[in-house]
Amino acid sequence: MIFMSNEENQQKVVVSLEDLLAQADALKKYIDYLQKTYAELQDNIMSIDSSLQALKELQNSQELLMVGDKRGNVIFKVQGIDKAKVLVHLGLEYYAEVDPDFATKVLNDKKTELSSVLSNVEKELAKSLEAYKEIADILNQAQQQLQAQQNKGG
Amino acid sequence: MTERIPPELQTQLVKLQQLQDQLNRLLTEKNVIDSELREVNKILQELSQLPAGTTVYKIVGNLLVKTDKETVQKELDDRKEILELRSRTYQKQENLLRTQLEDLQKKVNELLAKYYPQSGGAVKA
Repeated sequence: MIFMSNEENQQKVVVSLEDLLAQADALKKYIDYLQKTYAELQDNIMSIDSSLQALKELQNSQELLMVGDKRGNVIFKVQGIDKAKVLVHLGLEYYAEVDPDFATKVLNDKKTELSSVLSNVEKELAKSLEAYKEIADILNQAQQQLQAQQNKGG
Repeated sequence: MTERIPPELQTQLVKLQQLQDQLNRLLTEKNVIDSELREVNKILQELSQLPAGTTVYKIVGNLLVKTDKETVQKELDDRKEILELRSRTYQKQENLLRTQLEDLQKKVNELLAKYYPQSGGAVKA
């Protein structure tokens, strides 16, 4: 058991070590989940940035190179591209054939939305890490107290 | 030696846990529906800004199937209607489960007060 006393009104809260460890474990899982979500969101935003960059480049390019696979084992030269229309992902399973300006607008909207979610996840992550640190500090304190008692007794 | 929990209290605690699990499952399913509904609304909003007759492609397996704005709008309106109906159903179930949970919590707290009057402990879900 851990006894924590609040100096002002001398209230004592008794928390079992098992409860604290369980709480720390649950928090750890939640933090892992948040970190995974954070990484996925960042990846999504980077993908959108790449597409926005590609749309910009499309207007200036005379000739484009298309990579055949992820490792770039073969690259094709592409000419005669219709620069007036691109397919943009609207969401779910739908793509619309639109002009590059509208595609840019759709992608920027998506990016803004994802950035807002990313910011919320970041705040939640900071809060959870702080809570985890507090529990870890209490557990360390308890361990030190226990060792001190054992040293006295020994 | 640990004290055994009275059977009456044990039964109610098991029920409480089951209700809590049921609510968690329901909320997970409701979140999926609400998330899809938000996505549908977003697509409909984007489509409304496109000129009539705009070509739209739909992913079917590994294929992109050509269709048009109006067809997709109709498709998404139907989908939205179904999702809203399901969301409302989930909301009703959630309200019902929360009421049941509150009632059961009161019952458990009464039993705790009856069997462990000195601790004055209360359960919160």
